[in-house]
Amino acid sequence: MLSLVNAQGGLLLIDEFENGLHHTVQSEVWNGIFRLANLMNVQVFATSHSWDAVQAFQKAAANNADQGVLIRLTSKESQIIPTYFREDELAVATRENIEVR
Amino acid sequence: MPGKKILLVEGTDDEHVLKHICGERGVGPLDEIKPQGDVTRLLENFPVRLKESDIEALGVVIDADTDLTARWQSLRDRLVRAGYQSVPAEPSPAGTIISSPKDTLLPAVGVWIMPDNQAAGILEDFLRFLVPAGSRLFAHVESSVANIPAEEQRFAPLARPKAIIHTWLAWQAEPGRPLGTSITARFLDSNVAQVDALVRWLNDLFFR
Repeated sequence: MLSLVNAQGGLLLIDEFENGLHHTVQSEVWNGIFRLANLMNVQVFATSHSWDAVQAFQKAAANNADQGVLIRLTSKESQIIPTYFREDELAVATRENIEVR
Repeated sequence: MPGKKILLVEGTDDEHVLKHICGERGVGPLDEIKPQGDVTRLLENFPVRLKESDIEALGVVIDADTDLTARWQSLRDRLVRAGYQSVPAEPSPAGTIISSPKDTLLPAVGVWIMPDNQAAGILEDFLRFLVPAGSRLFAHVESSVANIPAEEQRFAPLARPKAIIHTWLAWQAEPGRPLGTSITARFLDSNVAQVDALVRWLNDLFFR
């Protein structure tokens, strides 16, 4: 959270968002990130391989319209192909257990 | 790693019928045959399923209900929006298969519109094909359902094939078996041309 303040007006990169966070607190942390990112005008990129983190992100993104997107990066024949999930698509994916990772 | 093969269907009746047809006719195995709850949910989930990781082939079995063209159009629109460029204007009578667009992660997609990709109707219209031709018992079922006194007529016209099939199953050696296991019990015979067509579509989509 402190790094978010330090990144005012710029970018913040978070590697493995869920590291050290119990799944029950993750959506609250996301809510905090959305709030502070707005306040400090920061664009946040977070990586994760965790389904808990995806679900928590979806919950927080649903509270913050048009501010969050999930991008899966898939490598295929020496290319990296992005797949975008909007908030409404992410809500379907988490409800239906559709694998986005 | 081989990709996932997933079949989306509307409800649990569709799920059980498809599972028993696959079992009887040796199709498979698929990774999942997934009931979506109803047609609205299926149409909502379909575009997100197209983006699922590692998906190789995605099939959809859906009822035409009263308007086959509108049902096809609702799926077609979603496919075009997802990036499929060569989606036919009309569904194929043999079941539609659209191959995976080049240089994308999108799966091959198959669409089967009950009963036969050509007529309006529902799953139970398809199941009527599985009733032995010329059955006197079935003629009796049909005339009984047709002769329900008007003041006792409780189901909507679209549900008539449902009433007929469930009456047929009510009058078998083991009355009241569910749709799926009635196929295994041969109260519904899956060795008919219409099931051959469905099986061919499943095999072409998933096991080519």
